[in-house]
Order: sequence, then structure tokens, then C-alpha cells
Amino acid sequence: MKKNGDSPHPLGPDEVLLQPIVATRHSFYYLALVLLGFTTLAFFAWLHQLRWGLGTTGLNVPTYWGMYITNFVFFIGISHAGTLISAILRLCHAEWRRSITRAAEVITVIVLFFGVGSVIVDLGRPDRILNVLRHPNFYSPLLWDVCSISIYLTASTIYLYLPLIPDLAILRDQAGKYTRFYRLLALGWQGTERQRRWLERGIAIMAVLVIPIAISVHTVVSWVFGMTVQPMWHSTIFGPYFVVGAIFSGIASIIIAMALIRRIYYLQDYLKPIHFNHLGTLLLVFALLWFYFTFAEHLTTYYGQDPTHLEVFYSKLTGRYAPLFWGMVVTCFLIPVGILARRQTRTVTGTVIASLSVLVGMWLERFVIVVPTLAHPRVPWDKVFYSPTWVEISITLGFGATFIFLYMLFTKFFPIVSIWEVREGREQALAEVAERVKSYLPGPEEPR
Amino acid sequence: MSFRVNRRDFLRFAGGGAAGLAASGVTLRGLSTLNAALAAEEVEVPGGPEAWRLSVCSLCPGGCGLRVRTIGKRAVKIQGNPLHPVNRGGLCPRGLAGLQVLYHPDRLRAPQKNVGSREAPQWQEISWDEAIGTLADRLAELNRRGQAHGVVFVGGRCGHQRHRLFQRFLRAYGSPNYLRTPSGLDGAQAAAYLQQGAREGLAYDLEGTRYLLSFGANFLEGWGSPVGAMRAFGQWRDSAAGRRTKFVQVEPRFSLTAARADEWVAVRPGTEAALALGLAYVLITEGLYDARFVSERTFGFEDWRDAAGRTHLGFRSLVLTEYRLNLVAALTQVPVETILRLAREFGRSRPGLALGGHHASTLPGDPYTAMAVHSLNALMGSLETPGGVLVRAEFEAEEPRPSPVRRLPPHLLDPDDTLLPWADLTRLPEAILAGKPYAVEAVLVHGADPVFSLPNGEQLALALQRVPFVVSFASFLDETTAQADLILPDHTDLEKWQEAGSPPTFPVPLQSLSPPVVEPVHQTRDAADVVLALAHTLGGEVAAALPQGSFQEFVRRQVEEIFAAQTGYTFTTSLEETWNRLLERSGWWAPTYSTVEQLWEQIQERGGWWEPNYYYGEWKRVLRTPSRRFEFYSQALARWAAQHVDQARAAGFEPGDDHLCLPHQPPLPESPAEFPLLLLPVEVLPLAGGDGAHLPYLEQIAGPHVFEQWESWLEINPRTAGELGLVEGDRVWVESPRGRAQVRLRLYPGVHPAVVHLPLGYGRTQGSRWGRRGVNPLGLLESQREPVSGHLQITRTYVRVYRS
Amino acid sequence: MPRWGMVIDLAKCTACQACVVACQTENNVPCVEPEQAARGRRISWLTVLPELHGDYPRVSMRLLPLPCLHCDSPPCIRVCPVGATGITPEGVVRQTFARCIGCRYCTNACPYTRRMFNWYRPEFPGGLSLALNPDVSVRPKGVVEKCTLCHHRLMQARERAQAEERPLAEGDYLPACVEICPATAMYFGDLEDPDSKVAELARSPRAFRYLEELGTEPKVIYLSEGEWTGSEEERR
Ligand SMILES: Nc1nc2c(c(=O)[nH]1)N[C@H]1C(S)=C(S)[C@@H](COP(=O)(O)OP(=O)(O)OC[C@H]3O[C@@H](n4cnc5c(=O)[nH]c(N)nc54)[C@H](O)[C@@H]3O)O[C@H]1N2
Ligand SMILES: Nc1nc2c(c(=O)[nH]1)N[C@H]1C(S)=C(S)[C@@H](COP(=O)(O)OP(=O)(O)OC[C@H]3O[C@@H](n4cnc5c(=O)[nH]c(N)nc54)[C@H](O)[C@@H]3O)O[C@H]1N2
Ligand code: SF4
Ligand code: SF4
Ligand code: SF4
Ligand code: SF4
Ligand code: SF4
Ligand SMILES: [Mo]
Repeated sequence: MKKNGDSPHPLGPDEVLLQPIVATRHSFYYLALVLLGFTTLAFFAWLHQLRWGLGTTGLNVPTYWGMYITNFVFFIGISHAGTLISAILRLCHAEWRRSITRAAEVITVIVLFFGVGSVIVDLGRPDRILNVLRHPNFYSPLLWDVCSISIYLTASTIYLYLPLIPDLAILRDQAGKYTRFYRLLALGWQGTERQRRWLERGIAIMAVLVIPIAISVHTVVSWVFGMTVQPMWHSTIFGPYFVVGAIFSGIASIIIAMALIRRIYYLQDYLKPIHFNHLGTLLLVFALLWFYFTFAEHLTTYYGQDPTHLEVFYSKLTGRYAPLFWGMVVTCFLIPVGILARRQTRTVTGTVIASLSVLVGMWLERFVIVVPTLAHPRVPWDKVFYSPTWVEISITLGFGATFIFLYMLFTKFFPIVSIWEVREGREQALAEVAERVKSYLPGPEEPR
Repeated sequence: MSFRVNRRDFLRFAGGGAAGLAASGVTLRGLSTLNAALAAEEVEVPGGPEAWRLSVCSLCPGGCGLRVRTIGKRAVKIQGNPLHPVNRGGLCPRGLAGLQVLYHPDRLRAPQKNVGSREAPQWQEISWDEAIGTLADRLAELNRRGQAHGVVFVGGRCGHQRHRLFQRFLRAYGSPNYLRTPSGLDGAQAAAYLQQGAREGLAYDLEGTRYLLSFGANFLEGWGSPVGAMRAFGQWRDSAAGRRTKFVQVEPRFSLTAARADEWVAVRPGTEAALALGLAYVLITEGLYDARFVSERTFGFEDWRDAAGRTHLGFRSLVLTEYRLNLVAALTQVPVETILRLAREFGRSRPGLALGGHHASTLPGDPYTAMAVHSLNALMGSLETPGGVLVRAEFEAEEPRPSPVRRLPPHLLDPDDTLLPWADLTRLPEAILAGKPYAVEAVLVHGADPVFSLPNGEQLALALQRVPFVVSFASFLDETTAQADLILPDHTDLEKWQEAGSPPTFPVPLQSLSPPVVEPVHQTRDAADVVLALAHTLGGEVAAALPQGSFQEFVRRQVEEIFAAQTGYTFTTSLEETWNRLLERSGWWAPTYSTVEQLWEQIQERGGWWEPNYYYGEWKRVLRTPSRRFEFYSQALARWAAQHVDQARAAGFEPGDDHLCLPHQPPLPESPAEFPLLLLPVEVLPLAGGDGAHLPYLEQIAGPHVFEQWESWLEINPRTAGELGLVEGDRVWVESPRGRAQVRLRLYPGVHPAVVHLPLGYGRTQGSRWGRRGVNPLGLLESQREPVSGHLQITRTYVRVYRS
Repeated sequence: MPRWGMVIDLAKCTACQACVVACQTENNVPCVEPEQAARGRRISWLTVLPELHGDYPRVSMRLLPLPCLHCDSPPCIRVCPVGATGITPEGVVRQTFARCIGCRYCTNACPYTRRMFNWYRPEFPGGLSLALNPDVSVRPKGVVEKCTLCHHRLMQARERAQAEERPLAEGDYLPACVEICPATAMYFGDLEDPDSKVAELARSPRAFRYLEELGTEPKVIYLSEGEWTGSEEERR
């Protein structure tokens, strides 16, 4: 990549993509301070919980799981933002992906830690977590989770890292700060033909690999519930239902992340309304899919008329959890579909509003899956309802804030839009696409 | 669980946190260091040599035998004594909770005197010498002033021998005023007195009966001897037995007992007498009753003519004219078909048994209901038969010499004035306040908490303030003890020599006896030993009447008496018991002991001594009425009514009206418009008898049918609640003319739509950290004296319920 | 090898809950404070649960003393990620307190809600810790606990039998709840031995397993209430 080596603006117009790394505004520090404030609060809450026990949460018998597990499912769901979507788009050669894949992949890698973290804070004895490695029981869906999430985290990290290498080399060559750090990470990337071939092959392989892994992750998460015999958990469609939900919330979080990056780092040229339009359409599709699954799930429950299931069912539709349930229907379906179905409203603002709504809705969905079933066990039980305490709320807020902070931090060290891919797109894609389009069309077959 | 962070906790917290953080980064190992530092240390349980010792439960009158496991000096487990004839190894949850009585953090630890006022007591710990000295001085002083009879001793839950000891002490000292707390069995006992002339020890052969009609005898939730009753229930339904005793529970509420019955008859509150007489109607009209028994052993069944030639109404005419089924059905809300079916079943299943006479929880109902129920037993010939009603044969030892010779003035509550020949503690407050027939100079309370448990407890509290000297022997600072000047805290069960006589409803003589299981936890003393010490300090006649140095010596006397009587056996397995019975029926007696010493040892090894045989047909003993027969028409009542014209009129009849002497349905009160719901208190097994709310084991299981624990709850029918716009879990006010209280609402379809229920046992304001929860229904209930028996009734209070 | 099982005759059970307290005292199960209990944190290895039907005055209620049912096909065991719970060759579903990480997956998988969690460190205020049974460890905070079928009693019985050089006989070992039941509604023994009382009762036409449609194959077997079949005179 020595082509532009001696030019004063070696990256040309893409220089702007390095800006966040080069210069940091005061507002960054203020925001970081606020976010870290939440982190501290969460840490304190966690210490408190460690000291006194899980009694500091609102959990009870039989609602043994609550906000933490909701967060776990939610965060793991979000993690589908990146890797999966980016891999699909890559494999489909969707050219508009080039400026968004990085932003998406980072979400995956970072948010996975919070998914795992949610489980750890939920443990009664986190000090014994190594027992999972020492005495694994492979019958347990939770262990499947441990495995699939570790693999997913590894794969996603590699998948984030590979396309990052050329950009790391750029940063190394910029002779700015932390050169040694970038040099180390760039692994001697010189942009030779051989290296590029290897890189592309690597990315392609990872893209293929990462899709089943990602799907498995959320399927396995759903199986944590589905493998039990509990009413409204024991469902065969939970696998695809959770995956769809995951991608759904994933897309929503990409949209929000992109909108923020675009505003904060002035990347309007890279993240254009068309990107939002495309992602908005995708979100719409998933809103419909999500609705389909939700409908199917509840209709079968209702039709079956099994009293133990119906108790949970009615607690959602008309009972104690009705506000949450219907809130979920509104935020996951009515609002996003209302906005996204029309081209005029599928704007940047429109998609962002829809996405925010979807994130809220999907969190509610997770909650409404986890809690009502537990609150209505098969055996007669007193109705003691779960509501989270300050400890759980603080930790949840802290997780959210810390996630945003780490994401911000990433943008300070790495280009959040893949420089080389954008450039490659600009330089080569046009020809490639023309070629490809030609191959779709009738006409004389060209020898390849 | 305490959530206050003390300094040590904080340091550990801070230190642990810092250390953990330093060690960690956020690596997993660091995490575990952190958590290990933060986690509190684990509870270490010391070991020691194991031993099993016997004892007796006195947490209720049930009299179960205990087997206690000790590790070193600690008692760690209470189990049932498998040899004990009352419980045969089983126990009720309360007995099991005895460990929490023993090791309760809020027990009274040493003698105290009140250096403040009665209204605002201030407690100061004193030595035992000072405590006994103060009491002795006071009693000596009263004696000198000729006011010994002004001393009242209220005896509650304790064994037979302790009652004897206290009573003997009091008589020797010069007071007749030994009083006992009322009990739910008093109602049935009243009927037995009025109709059989039996003063004591009504008993039932539950195991042998084939059909049980219970009119509100809540006998699976604490009735008579609870474990005894539960054992019988288990036997009725033992599949190995091949046949099943039918058990019908008649009461307005679907209690746990009703839930376990074969049939629940939801009777309108207060109309049991009518139902019983309706059943009698069917038995008589269909000829299902035991005509032979009725003609040979009863009085007043047919119309009869007295010596003066006046014709009197007989039971048969009464029932046939006044309790026709359509009337009874309308009054009781029980369908005619049900009455017919029940009567036929009852009539055909022999032996059958009718229990009842509580109108309400625990406190005696009106005597007429009890008589109506008891009359069913007579109709069926179920007196003195296996599976029927018995009168306990007491083991009556001779009063030990020298017996107290003092001539005592009349009893404070002069039983001559009342129908029943036993004094009624609920009259004590009036007597104190009136200062008549003489002033009460001192009140001593042992094993009872009348300020909390009497329907007129509030009045008693006021009255006690007028009493110059109040002494309590309680183990906890209960409501009554809070009114005391002096507290001499008693040992709890496992710390003292324990003994018990035959429990209520148990037909044969029995004496349980066991030495202490553990050393005293605190500086408490056995009240019996204290009274003995007191006797010696007082000297003279009192000391002569009680020469024993300790309670152990006192009970040793009883064992000697048993030995001298040459009867009965020490506890054995049921197999040996059967054998002994067999031998005894053929005139043999083969005891396992031949000396007093052996008997003494064996009693302690096995838990006690008893007489396994009941001798049926001792008619002279069990029928002591003027007619020497069972009296449908009670002549005792007739005599009394002739002398107490006003009270008879208050009962709704002119003197001379035969209804006064026959079982009948008493008039029902009207509900006032502004208070539409009847409030009936209920007893739940864990808290039955008033005590128990201070024991977490019992609090946790108080209301399983409504998932309630640790709190009072108001049971209401879901429909009634709906009409009032109330939902499950609401906090509501229950308001009666006497006051109002806030409780949690629990919807329970087993409640009569016009009734609400509150559990008894809650609402203490004193004593233990755990007992001071919920409300005492007695504070809301209006109590009226039933005109004939004079018993206080608490079943006529109407309330309204609204959201708070 | 015996397969320990329990039979509870619902016809005989009085719902007194003596078994509940017996279990608590035997196994050092702490009493949680009232505020915690109100929040649904009561710990009870054995609970008497009411199943209520109907309206006044036609109400019925089944009261079910429910320990861990020691399922032969226990959903709770399969889900534990660390194998902290398992089934012994004698069929006892055990819990290894020292290994449990407190994830509460098993509590959620048990269809009978028979597993309890230590929300806080157990407290035995005042002298109450003096009553602790030395044979049973007190569980620390953060772990799940459950009915062990009084496993410590089995161990002791086995030791005793070994010391006396004889095989373990049926009556040697009774759980605390069974031992205390005042109505003798509970039976305990070896289901494998066809002559044992429990095996005999388990074959009774009244026998059923709670929620047996779930396929958990409980080894606690109930006998249904049954009915009075009329007076002898009528039957004659
Ligand atoms: N474990 C334990 N057991 C005990 C005791 C103890 O302390 N602990 N205490 C013992 C003592 S002292 C006593 S007195 C006994 C008390 O035992 P019981 O004398 O049996 O009294 P309760 O249990 O209150 O039963 C009264 C029943 O009558 C019902 N009832 C209420 N109103 C009416 C009515 O108008 N008509 C009818 N038919 N029924 C009505 C109530 O619903 C209730 O079920 O228990 C004894 N048993
Ligand atoms: N609120 C309410 N009132 C009731 C009843 C009710 O259930 N609730 N039930 C009614 C009935 S049936 C009855 S029989 C009476 C019973 O009424 P009481 O005979 O007054 O019985 P309890 O209220 O149980 O009070 C017994 C007291 O004895 C003390 N005590 C406990 N163990 C020992 C001991 O080992 N030694 C000594 N010295 N004291 C000890 C305790 O402090 C306890 O307060 O109450 C009647 N009134
Ligand atoms: S029935 Fe009474 S005596 Fe027997 S264990 Fe229960 S409380 Fe004790
Ligand atoms: S101890 Fe026996 S009678 Fe009482 S609840 Fe338990 S099983 Fe039923
Ligand atoms: S009852 Fe629950 S805890 Fe017990 S073995 Fe069955 S599934 Fe497991
Ligand atoms: S809570 Fe403990 S026993 Fe239960 S699944 Fe988790 S680790 Fe296993
Ligand atoms: S078997 Fe033992 S551990 Fe299980 S419920 Fe009974 S007493 Fe408790
Ligand atoms: Mo009583």
C-alpha cells in the first residue's frame, strides 16, 4: 500500500476516517466521564451483591431469573448485529456494506463480554466459575452456551481482526501515536498480492464459518429455556425465534451506532441515507418475521389450551405482565413497521427511531419470555412478583454505559469505517459489480 | 438477617474489596479471591458425643412424649417417643419447634423487678435470692394481715403434677383462688356435666369409631390432644385396615380439617344446634336410634311427669315438633337431602360419634349447642362403648399427708353463682375491679398469658393495674408479664423435670415423666422449685404441706403412689400393649417392675406409666345426674334455672319453660346494616392455643391454604371481595364497633360469603422480635356472656371491610 | 442395590406440616426473616402445597406434602453445567453444595419447584445455632439446596450396619419427615424389593406420581385420597 506513500494526504478524502483517532474533543472526555460514572456505580452494586448475596436483587422463589438473564439474552442477541449481518452482506457481495461492516463487527465483539458478564453477575458463586471448566457437564445447555459463545467470541474477534489488518498498517505508517502497538497488531502487513489473497481468503472463510456459529449461539441461548419442560419455554420454535429476534435487535443497534458515528465524526459521506434505507428495509423484514414467530408461538399455546401454559399465556396477555407484553408488541412491531413500511419515513431519523423502539421492545421481549414462565410454576405457588432492585438496575445501566464507552474507545484507536475496504470499493467494485451484473443477464456466456 | 453494616463488616468489605481488586485485574482468579474475601465465613457446627433423652412436650395440653437428640450439651433434634401411647413417635409441628423455644434469642434470662410504673415498666435484673425473698416477704405480709385469700394463682399450660403442687401450695397458704385458663373443650365438657353429671375428663375413643360427625371440632388443627387425634385419623384411613371411618366436618368455614374430611357440611354460622336436632329428627322418625339404650339409660326422651304431677316436654316431642327438616334446612342452609343422608349414614354406622360444642374457635360455645350434639351420642347409644364417648378414669392418688387443714374462705369467683362447677377466669377482671367479694391483693401467673388470650384481656390488663402485686413465671416477656412487678422466669420444657397426666380426650390414666434434657441455658428456675423454695421460706403449714426439696422429689411421690396402687404398666411397644391388655382382661397383671426403684427407673427409660385398659360400663362413675341416667332434659339446669330467674329470661325463656333444660337452637343475632360481615376468629394448628407466633418454624407454616406466613390475614370469599371491589393481597381495614385493624386480604373460596375470618395467635405487642406481628382479633371482637353458662362468647361481632 | 422411595398416602395426611418442620430441624434449613419471606425467599425442602378447586360451598382442596421427588429422569440434573447435582446408584438425587456455582438453572428446570436458593448467608440468631445438627453442613450463601432424602442418615445407617456386619435392612434408615408424621401417612423403603411396604403400596390402584405426564418418573409416589364406601350395614 505504498501507492500514496508520499502524498501529503496519503488517504485522500478518506483522511477524515482517521480523524477520530488523531484528534479527541473535550466532549469525548465528558461523555467518557459520565459513562464511567455508571460503570463505577455498577461495580459498586456488584460488590454489594457479592458481599450480601443475590438477596440484594429482586429475585425470589420461583422467579429465580430476572433482569440479569434478560440482559444476557438481550446482549447476546445484539451481538448478532455485527458478525452475522456483516458476514451475510459480505457473502452476498452487497456493495453498500463496505462502510458499515466494521462498526457492526465491533458491536459483536464488545457486547459479547457483557452477555457473558450478565451471566457471571447472575451467579450465586462467581468465585466458583472455573468449575465450569473443571467439572463440565455436557448435558447442560448452559455448557453448550459456554462453548458456543467462546467459539463465537473467538471467531468474531478474528473476523473483526482480519479486515482490520490493512487499516492497522495504515495507522502504523501514519507515524502517529502508538506506532509500536499498531506495528505489533499489523503483523507486518505490506499489502502484497500474496498477503491480500490470503487476507481475502481468510475473510471469506471466516464469513462462511461465522454464520452457522452465530446462528448456533442464539439457538443455544434459546435452548437454555427450550430444553426445560416449563410452560411457554418448552417450545420447538424457540431456536429460530430467538435467532430472528437477535438479528432484529442486531440490525437496530447497528443503525443506531451508525447514526451516532456519522453525526459525531462527520461521516455523512460514508454512511449515507441509502445505507439507512437498506438497513431499514432489512429491519422491516425482520419486524415482520419477528411478528410471525411471536404470533405462531402464542397461537399454538392458546390453541393447545394446556392450563399450565394458559396461565403463563394470560399473565402476559391480560395479567400482570400485559403492559410489558403489549408494550413489546407496540415497540417491536407497530412502531417500526409504521415507520419503515413507507419510503418517505425510512430516513436516517426514521430508522433510528424505529431502531430505538426495537431495542426497547426486544429487551421487553426477553423479559416477557424469562419472567412470566418462572412466576407461574406448575405447582401451586403464592404470587410474589418479581421487580428488580437498584442493584440490578445499576448493573444493567453500568453494562450499557460501559459498552458504549468501550465502543467509543475503539473508535479512538481504530478506524470505525474500514478504510481499505471503502477504498477498494471505490477503486475496484464498480468494475466487479458491472461484471457480476452482466453475468446475471442473458447473453453470451463469457469464459471465466 | 441483619443488613446493618457494622465496622468489622465494613473493614472486611473494604479490605476484601481492595485486596481483591489489587489481586485481580479482572482475571478469573482475581474474581475468586475477591469473592472469597467478600463472602462471610461459613457456619461451623461443633460436634460432640451423641445421646438420646426422653422428655414431654408441654407446648399444648396434648402431652406428647419426646425423644431428644443431644450432641454434647446441645439439644439438636426433637422427635417423638415411639413408646408413648399418646403419640407413638409422631409429633405436631409445634412440638418440633420446641428447640426454638429453648434457644430463643428473646427469652427472659434472669429474674427481674419492675422499677418503673405499670404503664411504663422498667426492668431491672435481680438475683434469685432477692426475687424469692421479695415474693416471700409479700406473701408473709399478706398472711399476717389476714389477706392470704386475696392471692390468686393463674395456672396455664403445665403438667398435672405442677398444677397439683401449685394448688397445694395455695391451699396451704390460705387461698382457694387457683384459676385455669379456659379451653375450647369447655363447651363439650359443659354438656357432659349437664347431661351426665361428669365434671372432668370427657374422652373419646376416636380410633374405634366408624363414623365421626364433628360440629366445628377442628380436630386436625389442634383439638384435645392433637397428635392423638391425627393418629386416629391416620388409622381410619389406613388401607391395611380394610375399612374406613367416615368423617364429616360441620362448620361454616372450609378449614384444613374440613378439607381433610370425607364430607364438609357448610352450615350457617351459629346454627349447629338446629342441624344436630334435625339429624335427631331423622334418627327418631326413621327409628335409626338405639332404642334400648335410650330406654334403659336416658332420662327425658319421652314426655314425662314430675313428682308434682306436671308434664314436661321430652326430647322426642321437642325434636318432632320444632325441628322438622324444612325448618332446619332453611335455618342452617343445609339441604334436606343432605340432612337425611347424613342422618341415615350416621344411624347405620356404629359406633358413631358426634363431637362439638365450640361455637367458635377455642372458646366454649353455648351449652345448648353442646347438648344438642351430645344428645346425638346418647341417641346412638355411643356412651361407654368402644368407639364412643367415655369419661376418663382418673388415677386419683390420696392427698399426701399432712394435707392442708386450713379452712378456706369461699372462692373469689364463687362457682355457686354459676351453672358450671368450675371457676371461669374471664370473670377475674370484674371481680378485681369490683373488689368483691374481697380484694385481690396479688396475682401470680404461670404458663398462661391471659391478657393476650382472654376475650376480655384488655379489661384484665386494666384490672391488673389495680392489683398491688403481680408476679409472672413466664419464659418470655408476654402481654401479662408486661403488667407484672416481678418476673421469676421459668425453665422451658427441655431444661426441667417434665411430666404430664392424661391429655384432654384421653380415656385412661397416664403419667409421663422425664428428667431434664439439657442444662439451663439462662439463669432461669423451674417454677415448681421456686414455689417449693417459697414454701420453705414461708415455713409453718405451707412448709409442712410441701416438705419436698425439689420438684423431682415431688414427682417421686407420685411414682410411689402409682407403685402402691399396683396397677398399670410402664410404656411399651404397641405389641406388648396388646398382650398386656389381653392378660389384664383375663385377670392378670404382669408389671415389668417389682420395686419402686425399678418403676422409677423404667418410667424414666420409657417415658412414663399408664393404664392401657378402659373399663366400659362403669355407669355409676360416668352417669352422676340426679336420675343416674343420661339426661336429655338436664335436671341440673332445671335446678339452676329455678334459682336464676333473670338469667333464664335473658336466655329467652320464662323460668319453668322446659326449653331451658333441653337442647335447642339459641336465637341468632341480626347483623347491623353498617357492619354487614360476621367476623369469626379461627385457630390454625401452628398457633393454636394462642402461643407460637414467636417461633419462626411455626410462623413459616401458619397459613398454607392461602400461602400466608408471618402475618395476620383476613380470609374472605372471593365473591364478597369482588362486591367490595377488593382483590387478593390488598391491605384492608377490618372495622368492628370496638375498633379497627389493618391486615392483608386473602381470597379463599372456603369462606361463607357473609363471614370473614382472622387467625388467632397474632398481634402481640411484647416479648419476642418475631411475635410482634399482625393483629389480635380479640381486640376487635365483642364478647358477650352467654346467659346460662356465663361463658364469654366471641362469635357475634359484625364488621365492615374496606381498602386502606 | 436398593432404590429408595417414598409413598405418601394423601388419604391419611392431615396437612399438619410436622414433616416440614422436621425436615427443617434435621437439615439445618434456616428460617429466613419475615421481610425476606414476604419477598418469596422462604427455604423449605418440603412444602405442603394446596390445590384448591370450586366455589363456596362446593370447595375441595388437595394438600400435597411435596419433598424433592427424586425423579428417576430428573430434568434438574441434566441442566447443571458443573454436575453439582446428580443421582446416586441408589436413586437419590443429590446436591454437592461445594461445587454449585449458583446459576439456578436446576431450580428453573425442576417442574416441581423443589430446589431452593440461599439468597443470603443463613442466619441463626441468638442461641438458635446451638440447635444445629452436626451431621449436615450449613449451606453458604449463593448455592442451591434441596431435599437429600436425609442422605446423612443413610450414611450413618450404613456405617452402623457395617459395624454390626450385616446388610442394610429396610427399617435402618428413615428420613426425618417420614419418622415424625403423626398420621403415619408417609412410608419409606426400597422400591426395588417387591416385598417392601413401599413397593406394595406403589402397586396400589390409588398410586400416582405427581405430574407424571412430564416423564420425570418420581420415586415419591402418592396414594390418592380415596372415598368412603358406605357403612357396613349398607354394604351388607
Ligand atoms: N399444636 C397445638 N395444638 C393445640 C393447642 C396448641 O397450643 N398447639 N392448643 C390446644 C387447645 S388449648 C385447644 S383449646 C384446642 C383448640 O382446638 P379446638 O377446640 O378444636 O378449636 P379450633 O381449632 O379453634 O376449632 C374451632 C373450629 O370451629 C369453627 N367454627 C367457627 N365458628 C363456628 C360456628 O359457628 N359453627 C361451627 N360449627 N364451627 C365454627 C372454626 O372454623 C374452627 O374450625 O387445641 C389444642 N390443640
Ligand atoms: N389470641 C388468642 N387468644 C386465645 C386463643 C388463641 O388462639 N389466640 N386460644 C384460646 C384458648 S383455646 C386457650 S386454651 C387459651 C390459652 O391461653 P393461655 O393459657 O394464656 O396460653 P398462651 O396464650 O399460649 O400463653 C402461654 C404462655 O406461657 C408462656 N410459656 C411458654 N412456655 C412456658 C414454660 O415452659 N413455662 C412457663 N412458665 N411459661 C411458658 C408463654 O410466655 C406464653 O405466653 O387462650 C384462649 N385465647
Ligand atoms: S400436640 Fe401438643 S403436646 Fe403434642 S407435640 Fe404438638 S404441641 Fe406438643
Ligand atoms: S407430617 Fe404427615 S400428616 Fe403431617 S403434613 Fe406431613 S405427611 Fe401430612
Ligand atoms: S423433583 Fe425436581 S429437584 Fe427433585 S429430582 Fe425431580 S426435578 Fe430434580
Ligand atoms: S445452581 Fe448449582 S446445582 Fe443448580 S444448575 Fe447451577 S450449578 Fe448446578
Ligand atoms: S427426606 Fe429428609 S431431606 Fe427430604 S424432605 Fe424429608 S426430611 Fe427433608
Ligand atoms: Mo385451649
